[in-house]
Amino acid sequence: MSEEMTPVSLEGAEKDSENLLVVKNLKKYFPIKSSFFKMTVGNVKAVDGVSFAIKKGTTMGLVGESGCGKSTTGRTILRLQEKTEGEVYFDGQDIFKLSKEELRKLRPRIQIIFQDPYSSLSPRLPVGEIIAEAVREHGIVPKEELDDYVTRVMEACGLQEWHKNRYPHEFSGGQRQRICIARALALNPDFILCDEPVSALDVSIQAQIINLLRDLQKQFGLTYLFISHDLSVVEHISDTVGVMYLGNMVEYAETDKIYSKPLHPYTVALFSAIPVPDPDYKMNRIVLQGNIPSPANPPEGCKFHTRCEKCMEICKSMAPEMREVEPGHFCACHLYDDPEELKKFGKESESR
Amino acid sequence: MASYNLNEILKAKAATGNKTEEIGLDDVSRVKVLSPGRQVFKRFIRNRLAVFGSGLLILMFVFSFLGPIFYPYGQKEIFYKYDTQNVNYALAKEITSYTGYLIDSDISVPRTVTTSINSLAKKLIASDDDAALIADDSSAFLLTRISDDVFMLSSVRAERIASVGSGRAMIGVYDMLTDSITFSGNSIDGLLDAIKEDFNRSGGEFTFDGVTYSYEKAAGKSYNIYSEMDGVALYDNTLPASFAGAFEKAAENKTYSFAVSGRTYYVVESQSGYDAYSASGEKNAMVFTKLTFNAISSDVNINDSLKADALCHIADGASFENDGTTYSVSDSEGLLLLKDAEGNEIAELSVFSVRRYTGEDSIDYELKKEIEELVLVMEETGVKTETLVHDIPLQDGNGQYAYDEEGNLQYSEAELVITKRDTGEYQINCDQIIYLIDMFSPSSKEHILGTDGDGFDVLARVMYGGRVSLLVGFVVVFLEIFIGVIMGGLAGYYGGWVDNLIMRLVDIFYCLPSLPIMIILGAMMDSLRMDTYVRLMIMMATLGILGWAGVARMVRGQILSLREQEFMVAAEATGIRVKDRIFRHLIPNVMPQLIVIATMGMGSVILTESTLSFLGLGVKHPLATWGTIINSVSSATAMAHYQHIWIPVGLLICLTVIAFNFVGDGLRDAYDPKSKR
Amino acid sequence: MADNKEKKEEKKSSYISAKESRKITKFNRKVTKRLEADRANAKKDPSLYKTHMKDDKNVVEFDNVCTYFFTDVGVVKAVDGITFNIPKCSTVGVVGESGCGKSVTSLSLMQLLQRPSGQTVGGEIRFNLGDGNAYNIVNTPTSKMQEIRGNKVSMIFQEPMTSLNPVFKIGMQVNEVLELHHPEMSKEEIRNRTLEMLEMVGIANKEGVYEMYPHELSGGMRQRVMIAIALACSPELIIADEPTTALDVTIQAQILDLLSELKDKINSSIMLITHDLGVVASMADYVVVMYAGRVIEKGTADDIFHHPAHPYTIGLMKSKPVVGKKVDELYNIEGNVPNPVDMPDYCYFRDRCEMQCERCKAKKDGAGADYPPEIKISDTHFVSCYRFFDEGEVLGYPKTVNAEELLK
Repeated sequence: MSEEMTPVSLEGAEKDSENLLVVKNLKKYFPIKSSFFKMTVGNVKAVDGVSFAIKKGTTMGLVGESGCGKSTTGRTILRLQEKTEGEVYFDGQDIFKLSKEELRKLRPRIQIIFQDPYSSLSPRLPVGEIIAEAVREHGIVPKEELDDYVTRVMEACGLQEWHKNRYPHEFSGGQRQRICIARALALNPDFILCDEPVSALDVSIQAQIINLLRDLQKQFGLTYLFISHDLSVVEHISDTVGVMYLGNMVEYAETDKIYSKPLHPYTVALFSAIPVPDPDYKMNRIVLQGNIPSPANPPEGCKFHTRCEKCMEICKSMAPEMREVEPGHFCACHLYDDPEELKKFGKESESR
Repeated sequence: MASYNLNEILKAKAATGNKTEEIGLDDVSRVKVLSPGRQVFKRFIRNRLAVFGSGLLILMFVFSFLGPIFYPYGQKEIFYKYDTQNVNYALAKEITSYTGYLIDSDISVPRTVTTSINSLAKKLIASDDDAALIADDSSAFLLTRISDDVFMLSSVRAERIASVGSGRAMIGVYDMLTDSITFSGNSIDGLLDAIKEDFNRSGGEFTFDGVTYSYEKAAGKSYNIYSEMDGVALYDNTLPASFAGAFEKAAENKTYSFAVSGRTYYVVESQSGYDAYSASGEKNAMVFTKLTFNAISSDVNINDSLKADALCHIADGASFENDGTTYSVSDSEGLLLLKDAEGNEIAELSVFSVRRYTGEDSIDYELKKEIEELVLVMEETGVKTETLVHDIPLQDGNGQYAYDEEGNLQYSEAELVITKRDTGEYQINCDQIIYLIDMFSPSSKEHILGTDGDGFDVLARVMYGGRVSLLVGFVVVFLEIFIGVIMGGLAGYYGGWVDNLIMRLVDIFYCLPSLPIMIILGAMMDSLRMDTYVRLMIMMATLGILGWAGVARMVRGQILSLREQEFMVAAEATGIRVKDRIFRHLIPNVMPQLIVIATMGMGSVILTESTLSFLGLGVKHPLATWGTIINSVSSATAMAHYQHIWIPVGLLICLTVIAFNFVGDGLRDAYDPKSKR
Repeated sequence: MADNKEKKEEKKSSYISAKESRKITKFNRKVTKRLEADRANAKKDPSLYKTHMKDDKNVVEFDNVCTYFFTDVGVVKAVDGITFNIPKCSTVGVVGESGCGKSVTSLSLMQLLQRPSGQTVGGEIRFNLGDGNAYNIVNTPTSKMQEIRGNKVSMIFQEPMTSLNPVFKIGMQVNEVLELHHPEMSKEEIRNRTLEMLEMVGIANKEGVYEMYPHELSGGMRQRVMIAIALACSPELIIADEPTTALDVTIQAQILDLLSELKDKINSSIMLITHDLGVVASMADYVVVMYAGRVIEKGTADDIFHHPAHPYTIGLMKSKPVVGKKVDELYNIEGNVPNPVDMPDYCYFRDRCEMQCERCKAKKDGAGADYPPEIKISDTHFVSCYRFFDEGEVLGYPKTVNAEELLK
């Protein structure tokens, strides 16, 4: 499950200046320690070999249910926690090879927006200070311009100047999320990791924030990695979409392709489960049975086979590889294996 | 750097004047909210107990820190009181011994002589003799009876003129080696030559000066010399013939003097018998008397020289001059009175003395006489106790004598009780005002909470004690928080081995038995005799150092959970330095819990301090703390009898600790937005 | 400089001054004391809470219900004169964004408000007892409420993690409700009923789950158990408060499937409270759209989803991206849902509205026109918007309560 998992096109992708972020076979395991001797008795394989590349100025959506490792992927990319394996290239440099100080210098270029706008703002600092703090730290603008700069950034994010002296608790969720965006934007970033930025917001506010994010992208050519469980939002904002299941990426393609013709059974089920606001829409829901298995003890073979409707013998024993089923459309599923190979496997298993 | 310059773009955008507009019904501008501080305040004051607690604390602080400013007494001010007590006022007795007054200071009287006067005088009175000679090798004194109560001692030149004796008596030892005689009594001139002469004749007996001597060999080359006297030996040939007979008679009668043909001779006991002396050139040296001078008029200062003069003239009754004034002593109706030239009575000379216990002679003559009379009556009737009402000098509230405007002593009537003691003396008791330390006085107008065992005002001490106790609370908690925040912050933020190290240190501090440590430290400081204030400092430092572990653990826990909060991740993601992350983001968020733990801690520190001071390990007497105040009544009986001292302090300690806990609880609820009341 | 000063003043004035704060506190204390006293009186007099339904086909009728919270920042009119009915055996979806008062509506119905600060101060909530009688929940004493809660009305909460007691076995927790409301049932009967319920909510391993503790179950399973508990006493009404919000998409699909299946099986009405239009669309027969404590539109699901009338409803539908419908830019409603404190008397949505008509701002400068009345635009479709003032039948203005008058 090592190099072969990597889509062919990622060979040397980090040298392509088009790609702002390249993630190669990233793994993040959390050790499970026995309570007494602190011995590692197992691993929670939160991220188990994820590879993708994001082009400059585009948005990649990362979809999956809770516990599939999408947030962990995001945080590991930002080196907010150490990786277990793999490489992450930002603008050609391997993030995990940087020293602490170099990393700190790089920080402003890679920003993050969190899901919970309530806990992501320090409750004891006024809004202006929250935004200005890191700007000052990195000397993004000359000192004398700082105040004006913060004002302009706030205005760009739909906040008023007089909000500066207010404390976060006085704002509604949507405005807090704007503050978070302003904080990230003020650092002149190239890349923003949006970790479920709208999930906690009301529908009307969601639209505002999504529009704001798209607006900013258009204006400043930002690159986003948009993590969400909301497929409709991801469809709206993303250029490419990766679908994750239990630490693995099961499908990756351009948004249009994946939404018009999902290949992986999990993706198909996921898409069908979205409730549509139309009472006449008769749902053809593919209701997945059971729950996501524990990432500490994932099933053998294809991790999805326990819930898959189209499960085959091979799925139970052999993990599928990520392969380009159609041009630009990658999928890790045995359904799209070469029929010849399948037959071969069938014979082998029979002979056993 | 980023591929674009946000600042430039935004500037350009701002220049076009395309500002976002405010939308109506915007909550942030429309709805007024409570400021964070007020919100906490409101939640706090909704908690009645907390409000009660803070009120109590404010009271306590005002009481302890402002109280002493307005309270008139200090913490170490000792208070005295005046109390009427039945005291031994005076002692009355008949004087039986003789007191000597010096007349001629040129003559030195050996101590052996003065000490023998008392017995000699009594013997003279017994033998009805008028005079006796006290003679030794170097000097001789003549004791002459003026009256039974007065004797004159005068220095004389005495000459031994005769001896009388019977039987053998050792008078000395003759040492051949040194060729000298060591006499055991008076030396006899010429005896050495006589014994040597006899030695040459190898005799054993010789006669010298009319007395026969013998000698016997003693140890080594020495000989004991004995006188073998029988009858009178006369040394002076000019003596009249009747002398020997008179002398023998006198010796036989053990009289001290005898007269022969108009001359007086004195008999002195010697080793072998009696010696007779003639005396001449009398010079008065001292006068001995049983009499005491009871002043009648307080105008004249009766000094020793006047006394001596007066005594000298008792016998002749002649007037005499002393210090430029003429006095006379006369006997009228059995009373010996000292008068001046105008006949004013100055003093009575009496063998009956009435004196104050304190030594001062402030009893007036009338009272003395009355007491004397009464005592005489008691002596006759054998009554042991008698009461007498008489004016005695009035004492004012301070125990001093009261004077009127003209400066005269004032008197007031008092009941005097005379009691006969087993020793034969008479003791006079009466009620007197006495000035003493006001110990354990109950509450009164002056001392609202009374005084303690040292005469300190309890209320003042409670106030000052509150200062120290509260101050100790503050300083110790500040220390605890200071160390705790640093250690807990480091442990919580860095985690890993730093965390492990610090938390193990915390564990160690948790298992340090603080009481034994304080006991040992207290004992050490005791033996070093440390200054009270230095002790206080050391105690505060120790308590702080022993107490930071809990704070550190709490801060670590808080920081561990805060560290995982998204705003901390955001701070890391924006590349803010570690220092800023800790001090700008973490610590302010731990502040509420710190305030709560500090408030709660204050109570327990005050309790610890009081306990230590109560056990005598902390602050030392006389510096007041609430603990030392209770300590001053630490015994069971004191506890039972002096509730006014420990109950108020005990209450204060309880109330303060409860108040701190109430406030701490209130603050915790107020700071915690989830708690509902 | 002058500008600076202004800013400062603005900053200052955004906080409640000490004086105002004291005034509010004093007022709150008086009002809540008064209201609590009134409640205590109602306990003694059944005539105060016994009433009759307007239409016997309804389970619950909300009639100008006003639920206010007397908070430190003033009176929060969380629910301010809402009127709608829940017919028997139907599903009513209550939709709205956070803070619109949809949860408070359900809490008012259950009398689970945080008293004394939260109070239903006006209107009637009529609950059909089935025998022609009804209770006015607003005045019903707690003892009577306990007969209704869990038995006639039950609730499914958003958080299945926290709404089950972690120390009791699943079986016991279901049994408990049955034991409470059906004391006549034997232990065996109760156990059988519990197992039946567990089976009904699609738990295959019912015997196993009966003996399990909540932490052994996944979120979806727990929500199923919650539904089983809610159904145990065959209630007249099930209040489902955001039953799928905390669940993953695939699990949400399972639960929605289950609920719509059950809807047909049982004779209960469901009051489905959610912010997700998709969920409502797939479940509800009737839809009530709430905004800032008021019902702005109500009608059948068809009315609402196919012929939305209120600009807010329209905006809400448009602003939600839909899979398969590609738009360049999402429609967004500017501004936020207002916090219902010191609301103006004109239409609350006016400032965010793109379809304002002359009538909306009839009186100028924010002094404002009256709040729009409820207008009937079809037999089942009602909307509060001036755009239909001339077209539909004007039914009346929401009756609200002036907090100051409560003291009189």
